[in-house]
Amino acid sequence: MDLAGVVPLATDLEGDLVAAYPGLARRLALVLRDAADAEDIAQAAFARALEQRNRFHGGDARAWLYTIGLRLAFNERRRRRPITLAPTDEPVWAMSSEPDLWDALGTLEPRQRAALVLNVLDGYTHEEISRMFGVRPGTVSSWLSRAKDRLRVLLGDESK
Amino acid sequence: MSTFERRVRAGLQRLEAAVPEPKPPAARRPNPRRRRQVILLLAATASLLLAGSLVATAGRTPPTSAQQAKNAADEERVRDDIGQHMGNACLSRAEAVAVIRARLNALGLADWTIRSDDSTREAPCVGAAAIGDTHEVLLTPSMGGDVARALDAISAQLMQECLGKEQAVTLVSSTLTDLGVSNPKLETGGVRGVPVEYGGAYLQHIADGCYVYAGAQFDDVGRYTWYLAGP
Repeated sequence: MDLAGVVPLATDLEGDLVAAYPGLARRLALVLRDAADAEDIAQAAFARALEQRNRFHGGDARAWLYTIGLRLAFNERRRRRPITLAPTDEPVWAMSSEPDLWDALGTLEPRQRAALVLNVLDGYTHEEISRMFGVRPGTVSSWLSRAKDRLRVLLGDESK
Repeated sequence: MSTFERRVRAGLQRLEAAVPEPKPPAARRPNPRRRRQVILLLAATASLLLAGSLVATAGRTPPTSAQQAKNAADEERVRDDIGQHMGNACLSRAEAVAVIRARLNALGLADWTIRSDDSTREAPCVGAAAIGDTHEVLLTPSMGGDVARALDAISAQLMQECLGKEQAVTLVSSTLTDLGVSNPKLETGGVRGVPVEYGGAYLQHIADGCYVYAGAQFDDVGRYTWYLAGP
């Protein structure tokens, strides 16, 4: 074994996490519908991933960071805010980009929204998403099915 | 992927691109000296492993899908079980650790660790989040079930009645004090968000000159601030 091949593993992971971080912050902004909140959670996830780097078993560092970020978003945020808050004004960046889709996404349950983003935008499979959330693949299939059905109704599906 | 899914994907890509550029991650990084020490230690460890003809990559074997499925199932079991046993009680960090350790042992998961950081140091109560992949339970700040329920009731009451700033502050403050929260920190200000269950009535109530409950937030060491919003 080449010694030089052993030492840089930790720094490679850090590089992968830095590269994956903006994607996590952006996806959380779509899921949580609040870019500032999303950035806070992405920062916390990044810090936690670095703390726990010795627990990374190789593979997809981005999926690992997303897993930490999603769990922080859905476990800790729930405790942080005892009542469900929705922004008073929809963000300009969303309304100037895809207002209909943004509004339709807002009608989905947050976990459905997250699963949809990970599946449609990133191509993660039901099984991969189920591991991120710590639920059964069937649960994710159900979330995705409901989310897509809802969007079809709200946005119209010309192909049907 | 269907035509509709491609359309949604294109829309999500446009939305994602429109999200404001996030600041670079600012995690606490090890200082360079410490980092060099770590690298030297890693190099020494690797040399020892090589000398002993051990396989250095054994600890980095990716979990199999069976292990991942077990992790996910264990996480669900732990979440349900701890939820039942901690209930709505307001537990201190030490009490929570004792309950969680006992439950992990009872579930046959004695290898799981319980992790706590500064965010629970001064929290009035402690909650827990199970993380199957890392075999750990993370302690999190909590205001406690009794307080959360009381605040739900106050939130509804403030929507039904029209209290001014002083009356609303007194109501929340005295309720929290009665429930054992000493010197609760309250802040009043503008609208922070609209509870989805109230919708437009929330903003109308404020416009009518009434104060409403606007949530709570904890700081880095778990101290809570409760918010009221008004005109």
